[in-house]
Amino acid sequence: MTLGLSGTEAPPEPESPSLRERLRQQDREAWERLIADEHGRIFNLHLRLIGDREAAADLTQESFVAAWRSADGYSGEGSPRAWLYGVAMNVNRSWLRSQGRREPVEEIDDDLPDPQPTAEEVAILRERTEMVLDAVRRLPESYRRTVAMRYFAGLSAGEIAEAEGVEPGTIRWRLHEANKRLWAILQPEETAHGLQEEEGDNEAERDGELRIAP
Amino acid sequence: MRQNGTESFESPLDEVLENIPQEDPPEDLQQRCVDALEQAAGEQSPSHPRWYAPLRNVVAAAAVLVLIGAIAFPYYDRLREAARSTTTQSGVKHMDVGQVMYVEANEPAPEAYAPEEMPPPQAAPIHAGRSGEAREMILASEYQVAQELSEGREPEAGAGWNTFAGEEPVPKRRVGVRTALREEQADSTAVAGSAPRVATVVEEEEAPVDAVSAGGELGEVVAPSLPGPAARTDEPRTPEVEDPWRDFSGRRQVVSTKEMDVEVRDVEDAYDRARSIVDKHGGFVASDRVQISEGEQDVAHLTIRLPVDQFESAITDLRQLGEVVRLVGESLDVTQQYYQEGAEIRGMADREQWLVDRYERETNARKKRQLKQQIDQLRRELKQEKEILTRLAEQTHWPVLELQLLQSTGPGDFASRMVERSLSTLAWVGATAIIWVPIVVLLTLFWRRIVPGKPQD
Repeated sequence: MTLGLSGTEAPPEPESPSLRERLRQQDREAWERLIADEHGRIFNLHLRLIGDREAAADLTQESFVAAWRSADGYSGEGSPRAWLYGVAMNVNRSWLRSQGRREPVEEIDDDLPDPQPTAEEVAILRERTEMVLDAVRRLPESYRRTVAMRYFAGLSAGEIAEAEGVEPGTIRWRLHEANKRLWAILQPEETAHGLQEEEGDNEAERDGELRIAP
Repeated sequence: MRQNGTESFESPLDEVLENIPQEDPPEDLQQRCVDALEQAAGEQSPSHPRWYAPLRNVVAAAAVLVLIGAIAFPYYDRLREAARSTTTQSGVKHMDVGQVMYVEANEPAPEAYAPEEMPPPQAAPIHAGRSGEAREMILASEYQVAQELSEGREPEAGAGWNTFAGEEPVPKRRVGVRTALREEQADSTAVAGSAPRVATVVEEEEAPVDAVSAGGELGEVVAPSLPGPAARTDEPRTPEVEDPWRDFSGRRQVVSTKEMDVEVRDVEDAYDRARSIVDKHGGFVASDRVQISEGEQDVAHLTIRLPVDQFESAITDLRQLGEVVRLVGESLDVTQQYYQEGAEIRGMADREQWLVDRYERETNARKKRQLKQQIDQLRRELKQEKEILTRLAEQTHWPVLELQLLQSTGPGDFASRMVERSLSTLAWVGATAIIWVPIVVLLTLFWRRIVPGKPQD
């Protein structure tokens, strides 16, 4: 089942200063409203990053509890959503570590080409969401966080920068790098996959081409 | 491609990532989250002010540091003390080597006085170094006296000697030769090297004085041996250091004093054992004080004199009496002063001998009186110089150990001392922490205030 709204559309923002202050002061009503507004997106954020519904539900709970406990650390100056998703990402990272996941090394690779998928390839990828999500999970920590907050939580670059404590330009650069890496991860897999499933197809023999069985 | 206000992300993968469909969360997830929040609220301790957590962390870290410091500092003190001791020993050893080299290079005293081995002054000047200078001055003054006498003038008081009246002044080198010849005539049993000088000094002490005294003209005889400080009282006296002015060994002369406090179970027993150790090493107890009384810590204090060659070995044995809680050493190198003083005394003795000879030959009564006055004056000075050198020799040959025996309170004494040291260290570190902890807390709060932090877990 899917939600009717797009995953990147921002929900109504509880931006009023009084609401921020109430969140900071652990006002129960304000927090229940925040849960009602954000629990679905937080759940999907975790689900996309770990691929397990039960665990994602548990992490959603943990995320709200962690945010509640650290409410006094919220300055009230930034967006509550940005702060909440930052906490959720930290919870997610802790969970991954507790599961023994080894983070990929964040090495700079200048040789990666810019992704230039064809319209057909994009259409195929839209169908193969689990494959794309798996590629996202294989990104290094900083890129994964940025991609998740940007595409799964729908935060703007400014909000992500606020949550991460870096400049917005850094976030844009990370997104650009993350896209290159994602494409680098997806390309050979798809090529191999395509070769297996569409043996004999002349066009499929081109190196580096994204080839996906219909 | 996605447009978000003014932002634009040009990546072709944007479309793929943005259009991943969302899944419905479990129906009860919202309620579970609310319940979890309520549970967390129930568990949460009373709200603390914002500065509570950093302050708590800093205090905990400071407490750990204080504990580590309190445990480690006494050992650090011991290590530092050991290092200092090693450094001092190394320094003393270097001084020793340096002094020996210096003496070897500048104190060819026995050879210089040996007629058959004495090098010509031009070839190997003996005035290199301060001790050599002293000897050079003596020889120069002797030459001057000889000149004056040959010209029929009276030598000035305190001037040199070695030229008989009416004789031609002799070169410096020949002075030593003639002295040696005179000693041979006196059937000296002297050994080669230092022999001539020794014989001269013996003469100065015995034969001339007796001869003059027998004549009843020169007054009292100078005592050949001089009493040390201990000889004036009933206390055990320092064994005489035999004629230190005849010492041509060139050995380093160091005045050493050490103070050692030893904790012992039984002070009386340790006192007796200490005395026997001192006896075994040929030393003696110059003074002692024992205090044994009810309700107070027993204490014994001994001032011990030990032969210099037994000093360290005796201390090693005395250390076995108990636990050494303090050991302080002090030393002063007096090698130069020692040999210079000896050279002066020898020069004065030679001059006295010469004056006595002249006195015996002189027939003019007026000149005899003048000579007698000179001899008396010279003997007084000689006596003073010998006293000074003898005392110095006593100090270098018989170093002092101030030994204090303290009653220990038992096997737990070491532990209690360690606890005491730890507490003092703890107090010091605590005082430091009192200053630094508020500063660190304030800086932390200030930092958190001006720098927006990342979201916390």
